[in-house]
Amino acid sequence: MRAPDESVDPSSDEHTELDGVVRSIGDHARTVNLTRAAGLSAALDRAAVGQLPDVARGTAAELAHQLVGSAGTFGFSGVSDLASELEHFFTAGDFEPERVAAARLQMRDMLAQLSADPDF
Amino acid sequence: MTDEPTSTARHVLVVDDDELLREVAKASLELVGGWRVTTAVSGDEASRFAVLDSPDAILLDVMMPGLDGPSTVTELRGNDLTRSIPIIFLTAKSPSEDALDWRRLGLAGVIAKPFDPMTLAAEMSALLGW
Repeated sequence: MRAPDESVDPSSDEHTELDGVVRSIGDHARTVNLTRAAGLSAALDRAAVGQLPDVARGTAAELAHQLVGSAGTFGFSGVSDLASELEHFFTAGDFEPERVAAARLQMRDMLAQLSADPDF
Repeated sequence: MTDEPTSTARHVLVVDDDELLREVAKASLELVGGWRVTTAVSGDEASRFAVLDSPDAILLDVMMPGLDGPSTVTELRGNDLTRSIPIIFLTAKSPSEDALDWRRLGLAGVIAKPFDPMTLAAEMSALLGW
């Protein structure tokens, strides 16, 4: 481990280089995460009409879980928060109309945030 | 510029089924920590690699297809060659959800996802006493 004063210096060469790596990988991650979000949106559409079987519900919860971990790491912390809400939504499987409506709003916010710039 | 990892650098095995998270964690620990980092895509692969390569620590995702994090720890603890390797969970699950079970695993610690690549090495270092 580098000296403590170096490890917290965001202007160090290591952090500058890492910042470039994170942004580069993050570009790819955003594409992957948009695909995950599209999968979630499709699952939400099926849930809204009562046609989301348990296997697909589990897959949707996994997609949301992946979004939680990935999006925030690459500068989309708001997406992580929304994905966490959607993970709970799909895990619980309570698809009452008002819950589906709330999930749709979260989905819309998530897609909008993923289309904007990362927050780092 | 970061020194290249040397043969005496600490060795960390990063295990995650998300390729991009593996990449960024590897870059973070190599560049900021100055450690040697290898990766595995699953718990099964991690168990094999740990026997072959004896890492100094393992950063382990919890929710993975096949062997999940807790099952991987159990497997590692059951092998004389790997039982004493410090293990840190890297997880998007709330630790409170599984705190009791995880305490029994003898983990070195838990780091939450999403993580900050800039501070990941420092968090690990603090948990491992490096």
